[in-house]
Amino acid sequence: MRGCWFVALLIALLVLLHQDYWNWHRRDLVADALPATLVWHMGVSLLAAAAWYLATILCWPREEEQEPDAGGEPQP
Amino acid sequence: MIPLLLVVGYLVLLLALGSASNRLFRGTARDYALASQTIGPVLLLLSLFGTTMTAFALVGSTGRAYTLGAGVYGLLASASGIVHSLCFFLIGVPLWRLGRRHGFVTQVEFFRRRLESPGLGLALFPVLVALVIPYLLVGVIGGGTVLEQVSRGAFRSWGWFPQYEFGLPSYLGSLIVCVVVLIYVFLGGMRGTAWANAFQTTVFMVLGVVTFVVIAKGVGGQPTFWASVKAATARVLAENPAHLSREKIPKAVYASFLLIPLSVGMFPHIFQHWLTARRASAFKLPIVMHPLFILVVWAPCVMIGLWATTSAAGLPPGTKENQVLALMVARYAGPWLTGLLTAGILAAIMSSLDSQFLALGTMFTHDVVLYYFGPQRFSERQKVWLARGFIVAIVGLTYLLSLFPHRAVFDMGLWCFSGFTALVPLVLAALYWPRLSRAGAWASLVAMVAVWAVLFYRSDFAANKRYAFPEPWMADAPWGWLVSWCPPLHPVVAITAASAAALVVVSLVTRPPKPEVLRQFFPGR
Repeated sequence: MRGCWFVALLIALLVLLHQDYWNWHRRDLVADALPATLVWHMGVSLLAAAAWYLATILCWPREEEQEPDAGGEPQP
Repeated sequence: MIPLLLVVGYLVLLLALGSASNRLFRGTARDYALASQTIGPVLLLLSLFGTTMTAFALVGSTGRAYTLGAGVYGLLASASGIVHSLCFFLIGVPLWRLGRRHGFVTQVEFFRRRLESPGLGLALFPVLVALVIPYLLVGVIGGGTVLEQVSRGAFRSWGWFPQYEFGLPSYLGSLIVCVVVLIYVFLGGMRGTAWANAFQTTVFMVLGVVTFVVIAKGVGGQPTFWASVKAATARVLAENPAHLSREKIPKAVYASFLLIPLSVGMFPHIFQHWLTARRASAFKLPIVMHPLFILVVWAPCVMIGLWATTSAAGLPPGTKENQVLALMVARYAGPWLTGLLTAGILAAIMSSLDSQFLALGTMFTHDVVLYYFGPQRFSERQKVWLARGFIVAIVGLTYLLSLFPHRAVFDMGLWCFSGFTALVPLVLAALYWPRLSRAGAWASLVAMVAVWAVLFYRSDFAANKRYAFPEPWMADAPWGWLVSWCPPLHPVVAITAASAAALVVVSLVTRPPKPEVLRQFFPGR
């Protein structure tokens, strides 16, 4: 359960990072190639994947792991 | 002619795939609608991604970056990376578990049983169908337009279609797209759709990256790829520095757009794809990889859109958003890549269309015919043919609708997403809040439809693309204090807030669901 709270906090943090008003007027480039605002949000995408990976490790419902393959008609 | 031949070859491949998937068909209605819940993680990832990404992911992202700048990625892509996976995790997995336990195939079946309300199912059905149809039309019309553009001049030697610059008229292009999708969905059902989506997702992702590399080298003109990227972006910094920031996007709009990707949580076609999973753990791969796939598709397109603003790209003044990618490809790539990229754009369009057609056909079969006439009155074979019949009818109807003047359909897209987003409180409450009552669900649905309709009317039926709520004059009204604290936001915020508030308030003051119903949906209670 503690893991779920951690994941929830991470996702909330990601939403805050997504609303990056402090980058609004940035026009500089990263590595002379990519806009800093774009790189920031590419980072948000990478962090999102990492956060969701943690969610599948720390927060995955136990009963789902124990269920056999569906593969057919509904269970009674 | 080469691009057209490549596209035709691609369409033939899709038909072959549909035919191959038909060999695995088990002959039952459940197999036709859900592939007997045999879809593993990789196929689920590819089919879900292909279904959520439309042509907008390639063409629209490039065009929007051309007009609005680099902020488009944050506005539409990184938000989807967070929120889509959230929907898969919070809504998809529990719905899969309930669907497996109770045999649901459609959303309406779930809500009918959870809220013990056939009437609510009956009311929800037309709302869902009405919200999907404009989305379908965008795909059918878009497919026709793509084929018209790629075939220009192809029929000159025969003298065909001179009024379309000797290319395929868009109405025939739309017909071809409809027929191809219809054939593989008809033959393969969900299995054919999932296979085709996986193939098409691979095609448009690979071709998107290849196009990016070719255009980077063309615009930058340097010996290596990375040096070309630097040179091309340096031109943007020199000529259009504002495009590197988010200055062209209103802040309040940016914030409210975070709600739009929530619509995935109530798309009927995504619901059906969720139910195809072999087991719950199959969701893990899509949940983790979805943001990365979005990154791979969107970031290159946004960069192409930025480079298109420079004088080196040489785009004519007045270039429309949807023309940007095609013009860049035409300028920097040969006919082979043009043909392949067109196939990629069609892939993105058709990988959404097929799932939507299948979902609507399944809904008509399960939510109307089987529910009101009784499933035992039909054999498995008859149920499959019913679904197929409905799919043929829906494809035919969509095609006919696409022939009418359709300027407004494209403006409808965001309004459809807003409607689906406003239904998400309902599905979340049904899954996580035992106190949700039948009356609360009704109130939520009515509030969503009413507020959506009023704001849609106020926006001049979507003609006012910058419509925001509260409207400026409201602050000066006698009751202006009610809204004066709130900046103008995208209508999705007001519609969703109304739907959620009605759901909570009415549920709290009305009779809760029966304990025996709650035990079915909340076994731990």
